[in-house]
Amino acid sequence: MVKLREFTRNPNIKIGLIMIGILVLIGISSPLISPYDPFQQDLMESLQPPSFKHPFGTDLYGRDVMSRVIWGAWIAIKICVIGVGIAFIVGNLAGAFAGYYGGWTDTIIMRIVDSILAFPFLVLVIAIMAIFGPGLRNLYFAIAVVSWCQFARIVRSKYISEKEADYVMAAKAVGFPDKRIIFGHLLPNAIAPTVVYASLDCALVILLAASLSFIGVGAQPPVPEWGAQIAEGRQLFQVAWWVATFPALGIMYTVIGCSMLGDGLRDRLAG
Amino acid sequence: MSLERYALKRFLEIIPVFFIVLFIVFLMLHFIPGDPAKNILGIMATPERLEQLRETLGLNEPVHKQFYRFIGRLVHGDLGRSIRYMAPITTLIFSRLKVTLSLVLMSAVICIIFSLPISLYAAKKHGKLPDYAVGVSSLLIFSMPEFWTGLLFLNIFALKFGWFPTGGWGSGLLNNMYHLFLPSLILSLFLTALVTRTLRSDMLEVLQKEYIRLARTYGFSEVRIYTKYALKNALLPTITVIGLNLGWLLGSSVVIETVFSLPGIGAMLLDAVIVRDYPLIQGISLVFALAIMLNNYIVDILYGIIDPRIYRE
Amino acid sequence: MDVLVIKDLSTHFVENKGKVVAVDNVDLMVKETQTVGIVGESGSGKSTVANSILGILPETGEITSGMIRFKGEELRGFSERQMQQRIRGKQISMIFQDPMVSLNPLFTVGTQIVDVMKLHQNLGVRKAKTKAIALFKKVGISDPDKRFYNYPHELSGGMIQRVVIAMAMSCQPSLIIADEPTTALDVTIENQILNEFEKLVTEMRVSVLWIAHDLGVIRRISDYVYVMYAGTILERGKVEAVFRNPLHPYTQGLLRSNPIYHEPKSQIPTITGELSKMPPHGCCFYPRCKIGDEKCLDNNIKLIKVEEDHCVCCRKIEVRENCYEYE
Repeated sequence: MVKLREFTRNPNIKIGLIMIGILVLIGISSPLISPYDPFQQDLMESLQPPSFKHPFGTDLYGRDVMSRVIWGAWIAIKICVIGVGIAFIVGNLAGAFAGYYGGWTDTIIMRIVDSILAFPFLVLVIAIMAIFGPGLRNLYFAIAVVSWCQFARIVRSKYISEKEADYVMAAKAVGFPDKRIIFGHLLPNAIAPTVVYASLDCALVILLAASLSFIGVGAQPPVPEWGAQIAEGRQLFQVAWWVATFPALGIMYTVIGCSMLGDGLRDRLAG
Repeated sequence: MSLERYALKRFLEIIPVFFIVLFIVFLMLHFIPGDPAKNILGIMATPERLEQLRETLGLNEPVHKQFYRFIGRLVHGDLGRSIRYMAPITTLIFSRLKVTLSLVLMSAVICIIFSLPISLYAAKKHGKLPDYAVGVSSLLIFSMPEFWTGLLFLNIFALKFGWFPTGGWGSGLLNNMYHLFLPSLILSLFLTALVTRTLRSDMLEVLQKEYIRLARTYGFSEVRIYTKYALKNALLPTITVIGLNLGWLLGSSVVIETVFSLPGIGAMLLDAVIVRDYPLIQGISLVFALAIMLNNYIVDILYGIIDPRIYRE
Repeated sequence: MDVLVIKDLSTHFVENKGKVVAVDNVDLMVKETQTVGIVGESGSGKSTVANSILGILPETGEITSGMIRFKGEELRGFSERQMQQRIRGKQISMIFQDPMVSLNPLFTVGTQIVDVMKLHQNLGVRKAKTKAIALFKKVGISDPDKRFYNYPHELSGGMIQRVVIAMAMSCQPSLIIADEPTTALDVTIENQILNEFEKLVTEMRVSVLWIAHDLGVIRRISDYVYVMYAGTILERGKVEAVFRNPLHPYTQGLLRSNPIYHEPKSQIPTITGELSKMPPHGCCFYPRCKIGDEKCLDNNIKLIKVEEDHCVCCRKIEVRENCYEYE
């Protein structure tokens, strides 16, 4: 417990954790705390500026922006957990095997990684969405397909540098099988930089998902994903700035929280 | 190993990647669930039209034959024909190339102009107010979704104040730069914030090193130490960051071109997605991928030039 | 003339937990062509003395009092610019401990030494290069013209240290401060470097302030030695005098714990305890001293002269008529 407190003394980690914590709480309890149903339309109330009744105003269809932003938090969490989660697991496995075994395993895996990374993230995800169709489910998959590469790279280089370490030699000398060494001994040492990257990746993934929804290939209306909401507010910007702005603030808040957490973790775990 | 041999070695390493990229692009058409032709033309299409499309796309042939044809066409510089525009894709891409290229170039220039002095300044004033200010503002800028910032600037500076055009493309160099100003500014924001943060923290790390301390004992001025010695060392990881993020820049150009209605390749990609013009999607993806591979190659070579430890054994 | 005279130097560092006094009222002197050694354990403040002389303390450090006179001029009165242009690298050079990180890995060793010569001597590149290669030869670098174009990672530790020495000598300084330059080297290499260094020093008539914790090296290379502990000078004197007849309990402890002075396979006595909190008054060695008593906690323990060119700072030593004894 003392170690935990030492660990969180870093201001970046503290603030980041608090921000993300609040976000997760809001997201998880979104059905409970949002004042209105985010899908419910009320054309009489359309395009109302922020007021007591609707703190973030209403959109073109009279839906309460605040409720939609709150639900958007939940969607953002889902995107991060599923998208980055899958990428994390796949990337760690791939990088571990590539780094440990070397040779052809390494070459094949890394060539695949290089080729995926040869495409601009956005373009590849757009292409995937174009092929499999738009929507949130495909979005998770597309993000994972593209993100695992960076994890693989980081893990691989850590494994390569740690492979020759004394404790690995010792484990081999005692007779531990490869898989045991990979997961039992090397993984705990190699996982630190990937955890750092995971939090930074969450930030990037949120921006990516929002961009995709904005241009129409991500979450489809009426899903209250933040990017999609900004798209809805695009034409209305001059007359109803709040429709596009509050979701943007949601994005900013999340990205800042993830980045700070990532920075703090990086300082603490020294990459 | 000499620099030339290193360049050759890296080039040879790229070739297998190149082929995998080609393969991925090729597969795009074949991953479409169901019948690609139906997907493209919609449910209302007649069987004859569907069959015609299948013929054009070569879908009736065995897969490996399709791949050979694909490579064969590529060797001649033929990227296929766009379904929507009914024109060779290569021509389409070239006609819009200069828009996207100028956008990206201008963004990169803006990024370098701002990030270099700001990060050096922040490193010098480490721990004091200017450093925190730079850190906080770059974090804020980094977190702003660029399409929203684009909308914001567009609405304020173009629509409301009328200082800049609301989009589109002009004629002549100066006029084009005028049109490009807002979009490239927005595009550069993310990169500038990222580079500033990276360069600043790298500078701080380098400034702690013994060889910098030794340089100080020799009486080199602070300016000299920062600009000649420390910068070169700090630039290394930063170049990797910039290089790697070219991909992000190209990807974001898609969004920015849409917001500002610029007739670039990115905007064309989006149109292609909406109408399911798969050949065009393939062609653009390939071109982007090639651009990035070329970029990464140049970054690797640059890295080798700056840090001789990479290839001199 | 005395090259360097330091009187009453005190330097402290400001840390989260408060002020830490690293150097406490230190007097030190270096004469012309003399090699003075400072010996002490890690944390004794010896490097801080060096940094204070050159004015390259980190931001948390500050000289609180004292005088640093170099060739008659008060260095504390110099502005940063004056230090850069007249003193650092030109009149006083410094050599660091770890050769592997001393030089910038992205520049050739030739470029780095030429830069120094261009800075202080206004030489053109070609002239500087010729001079540099000649210097390389002098410090014992083989194939100097080829080595000139090497990068630091292509050279061994001993080779780099030779380059660093050449750099330090390149502008004919009057004083070289060597901060544990051979600690990171193999014993055989250390031997060679010391040989070449001594030759050069005699030839170029340079004064040297050599900082180390290795007694053997100090004994070999210095004319005069200062024993430092917790920021204070505990004993000083001509090298032969101090080594033949160590007076302070700390010096005795240091010498006793050196394996050279013992039979093989015998137990080597150590100085118990470690350098940590110091008593607020009196002798700083008191917590670890075997012969101390309450009177050692008094302030004002001064350096007493016990024999010619040999002084010690210990209350327990009384000097009477050409002899002394411990109370």
